[in-house]
Amino acid sequence: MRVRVLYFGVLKDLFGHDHVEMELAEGSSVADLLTLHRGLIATSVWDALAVAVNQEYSRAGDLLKDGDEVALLPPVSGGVEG
Amino acid sequence: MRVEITDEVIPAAEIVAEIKAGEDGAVCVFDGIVRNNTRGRKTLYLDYEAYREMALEKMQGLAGEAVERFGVRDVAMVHRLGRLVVGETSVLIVVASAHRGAGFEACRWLIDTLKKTVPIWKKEQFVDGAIWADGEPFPEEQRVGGSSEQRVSETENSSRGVAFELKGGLGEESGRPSPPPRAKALVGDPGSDEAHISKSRAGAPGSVAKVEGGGGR
Repeated sequence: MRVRVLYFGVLKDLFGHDHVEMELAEGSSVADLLTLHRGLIATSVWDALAVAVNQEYSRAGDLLKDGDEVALLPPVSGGVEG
Repeated sequence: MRVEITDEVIPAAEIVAEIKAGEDGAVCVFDGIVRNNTRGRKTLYLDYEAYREMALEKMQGLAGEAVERFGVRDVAMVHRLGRLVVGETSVLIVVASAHRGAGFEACRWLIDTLKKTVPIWKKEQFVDGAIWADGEPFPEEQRVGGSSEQRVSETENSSRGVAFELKGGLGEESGRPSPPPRAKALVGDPGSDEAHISKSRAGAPGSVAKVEGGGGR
């Protein structure tokens, strides 16, 4: 199956682009996708990550399906400091 | 409820004026503006970006929830994206209510919750470098990174940098001065902003299958 992975914030800089199309094995979960990414780039962001599947926050065990839009979200920093 | 994400200057006075109605006794305004420094480091400007569709939907959800939770009459919430200089408004939250207590509480809850859950990020440009601002930790129910299971499988897969060429960049952390991006996709058209990781070259399905067999879950 094919999913579209979106990178935001520091991840966009680290990967050098804002999205990729990825082929995954059927039955892959959000955790599997994260494991794959952890092997690509070492960054502490992975430990603090949230993942949105089709614009809803997801859990590590959620299964992905063909055509999903999966966004990897570093801790958010909108608004203002303090 | 006026909830927007905009690339333009936020018309704060107009938004405050238009929300007022006869039954209101209070209008509480939070005007978040760009400060000239972060921990003493001089700020030139901030670049805001968002997962735009999701951010807008989350903001709409928060506005509706604030009305229910605090019993306020109306909420306006506008966040600006793009490059903002010192003194400009990045986020405006306006709460109209019959009484001030609910208005203050709703306003405080809205900005605090926005900062934790709405997918918006900012990069701070200083005179001597740029960093992505340290974000607020996600609430436990939204965070998926950092489980011990994932760390185990990371170790098992650490030697397999299949789809990307790594030229250092290890140990990068957000919130610190970072060098330019050093990881790039091996597969894909460099002229396109989309990198296709093909089945045959990236081997992604194989990797995933192996993760599953190796106790990755």
